[in-house]
Amino acid sequence: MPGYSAAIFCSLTLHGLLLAVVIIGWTPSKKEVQVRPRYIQATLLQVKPPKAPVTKKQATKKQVKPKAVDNKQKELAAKKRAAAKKLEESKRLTRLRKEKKQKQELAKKERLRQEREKAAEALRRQQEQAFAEALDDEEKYITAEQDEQLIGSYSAYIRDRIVNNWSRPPSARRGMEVVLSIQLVPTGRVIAVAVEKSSGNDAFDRSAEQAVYKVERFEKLQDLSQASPRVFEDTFRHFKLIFTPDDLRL
Amino acid sequence: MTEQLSLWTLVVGATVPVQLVMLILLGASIVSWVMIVQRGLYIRQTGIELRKFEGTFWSGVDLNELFRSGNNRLNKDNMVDGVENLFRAGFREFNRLSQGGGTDPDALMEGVERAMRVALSREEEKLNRHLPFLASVASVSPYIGLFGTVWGIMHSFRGLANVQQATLATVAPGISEALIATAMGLFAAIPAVLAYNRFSANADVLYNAYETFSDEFSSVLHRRVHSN
Repeated sequence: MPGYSAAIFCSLTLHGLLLAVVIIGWTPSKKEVQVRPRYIQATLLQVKPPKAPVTKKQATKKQVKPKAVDNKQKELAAKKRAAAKKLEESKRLTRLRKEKKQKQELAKKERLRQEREKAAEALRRQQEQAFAEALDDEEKYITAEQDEQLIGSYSAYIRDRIVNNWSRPPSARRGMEVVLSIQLVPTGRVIAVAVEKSSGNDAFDRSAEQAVYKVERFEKLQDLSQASPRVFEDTFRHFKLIFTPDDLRL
Repeated sequence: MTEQLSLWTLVVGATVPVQLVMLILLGASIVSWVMIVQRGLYIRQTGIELRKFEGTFWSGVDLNELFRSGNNRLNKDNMVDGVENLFRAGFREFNRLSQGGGTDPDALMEGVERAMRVALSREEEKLNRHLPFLASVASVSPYIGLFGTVWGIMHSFRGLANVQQATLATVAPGISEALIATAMGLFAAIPAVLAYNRFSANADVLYNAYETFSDEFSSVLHRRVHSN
């Protein structure tokens, strides 16, 4: 009988390989699930304020140099000097006056420029404010939308729980409607139930009330009150529930 | 259950009966593979030897010569297998009876045929060895695996009875571990079925070839007895 050792070797190798694959290599493939949000969030990144008017101007102009008067004759000099002095004096005066005028003009221009700058600044600030407000509005809109979704899903959950715990009284008819006012604490526990508006059928009212008591605790609301306490406080601490089961056959 | 369950942790975490079932199936699989490989080698080799021996036998070589070469091989601790054993048994009987002298030719032929029939049944036994084991592994191991699975599922459902909120996650590991037993049963059974069918067909073919050869050889000897 040939080949027993070879056969044993083959078999053991095969099973060893198999075990190795089982121990080491077998990992179930993970599939990542990506949840896509339903809304599109667009944010405006930049708003260009209108450019402030360019106000740089040549502030000063070079003043005209006074002309030096040169007299050659000394006899004439004195006379002329006097005349020149007078002339100079008058020239100086006019120059002074001119300078003063210029200064005034400059100051006026400066003031004008500042005023204009101020106006531009105010305009820009106003625009920025408007932009911030718009952003705020957008954010508010988005959060409101999110809140609405949250509230919707949680109210569906609450309705489900209550309907599941509800036992239909024989006298229940289609179209009966009872309004319950329910009070919860942030853990989701029911602390008070009251009939706000009766359906006209005591048994039905009582059964609805009993259903809420039977639920005792809405477990998922604890997650909500942890995640966004504001929504819980606003919506679910006190709320009214219109109880109209639509699966009634009668 | 934050991390993914690996197959090995499932096996280790299984209940004792299920583990026992898995162990039995692993053993059965190992042994059946030993037999599959050994049978495959043996049947392949006997097929080759059959063709070789028939080639030399019909090539007109002296029968005494052929017998002696077989003796040499036996002395060198080489196994003599298959169709050559038939030849040797028949020829030895023939020589013995004819050397005694004065034997009736019919009685001589009868003795030769009997000796060959014995050798043939021995060869048949060799051809079919281990095949019953493969057959029983093939038919039984799925049931053993199924038993492990049923047991494991029973166990995991009984654990479920005490739980307030039953989720899929509480039963899933138990069922998964239980199903491993069935998988192992099938893993052991499928190769065994295939091998059993293949090898029993091959053994049939070989057995028929042996039978034909023994008939042919006895007719050769018959001719020799009656021509003398």
